[in-house]
Amino acid sequence: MEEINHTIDILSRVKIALEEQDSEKLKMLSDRTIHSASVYQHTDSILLAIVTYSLSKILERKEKLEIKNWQNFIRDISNLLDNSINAIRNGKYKLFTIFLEKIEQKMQDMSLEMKPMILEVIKKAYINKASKIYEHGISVAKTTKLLGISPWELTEYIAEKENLHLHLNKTIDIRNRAQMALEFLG
Amino acid sequence: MKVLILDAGPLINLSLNGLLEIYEKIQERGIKIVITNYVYQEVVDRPSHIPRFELGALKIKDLIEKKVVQFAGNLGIAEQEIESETQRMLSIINSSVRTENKSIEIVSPAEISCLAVSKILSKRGIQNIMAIDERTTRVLFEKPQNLAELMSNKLHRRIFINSKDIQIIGNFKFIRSSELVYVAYKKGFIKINDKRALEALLYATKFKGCSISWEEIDQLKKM
Repeated sequence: MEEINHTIDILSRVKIALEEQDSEKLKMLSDRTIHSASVYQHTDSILLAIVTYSLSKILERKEKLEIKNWQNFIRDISNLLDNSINAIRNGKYKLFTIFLEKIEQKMQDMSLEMKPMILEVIKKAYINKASKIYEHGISVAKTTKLLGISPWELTEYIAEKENLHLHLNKTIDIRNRAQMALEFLG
Repeated sequence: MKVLILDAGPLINLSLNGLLEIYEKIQERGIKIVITNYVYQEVVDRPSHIPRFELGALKIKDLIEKKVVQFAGNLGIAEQEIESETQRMLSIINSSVRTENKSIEIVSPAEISCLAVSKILSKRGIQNIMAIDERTTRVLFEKPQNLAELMSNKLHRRIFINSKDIQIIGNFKFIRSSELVYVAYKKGFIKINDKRALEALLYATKFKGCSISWEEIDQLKKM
């Protein structure tokens, strides 16, 4: 129940942030979804994080993407968000996932000319969310399996991210580990 | 016999850095290098369909075809034994990490199958070491309280790790790509005649996913 209420709250806030065209707020909401995605690992909460982050990136690049009928796009996504809120309120979880997938599809189809760029935005959203889940302590292999991406795609990306809790990665002394490697392999 | 068990990370790392020949040099020293079927899926099967990583995957496949890297089954371990040990360990680990009322699955069969091989080899009295770049498995076994703290900070809720259960699974020796290139440099496997070669190698492993801090790199440079 706690997770359902949390998801409804996030969806309602995503709708408002989208209508206000607030990309920073959308990013923050996507990060909030990641906490729950890391614990429960439900594909729909992961998809919600990805969709929300992709929307924030599309908003950021609105001018560059030169989308015709922008207002129609916002209205359609907003309607799909309403539908997904209703679905989850009524316990129709499969339908909820279908509406999230429709939002992803809607983003992909918003502009034929810009489709490659939009697909790239969505792909990067998958990798960005994977790096966030890894930061939460989930292994690379587990994370990539959850998001349906390859560890090859994640390795370079996680290296570029600043890790605020780097000191917690340290376990045994590097000199001892290096010595152990030299003795074993040398 | 000595056995180096590779998780996906150190294979991907050295492949992306064009340093796979280090494994050939290690194997020439009489050390067996092995992977599991789960790791093979991650380093060869899946990336073979991604154009950007296809070449890297093919280079690793070539190492396997040349028997520089072998499947753990070639050491006389039955696949069934690896699988059942993997599932047993997975079940313990994934129920040992908990928030208030729920366990959190933090690891997958790929890295745990490497631990399973390590445990089976140790039982047979065969010296082994595991190379793994990602942080979660290494920290879980070497300092579980650090992983609990990291997860608690990130998830904004208290995370408990049952360290006793983790200890029961076994003791493992872990190294990373950074230690592999360190050994390669010290043993003269790398033919780069520049005093900055070691730091360049260490930076390269960090930027391809090895969980090593800048401070640790500085310490290694001074050794």
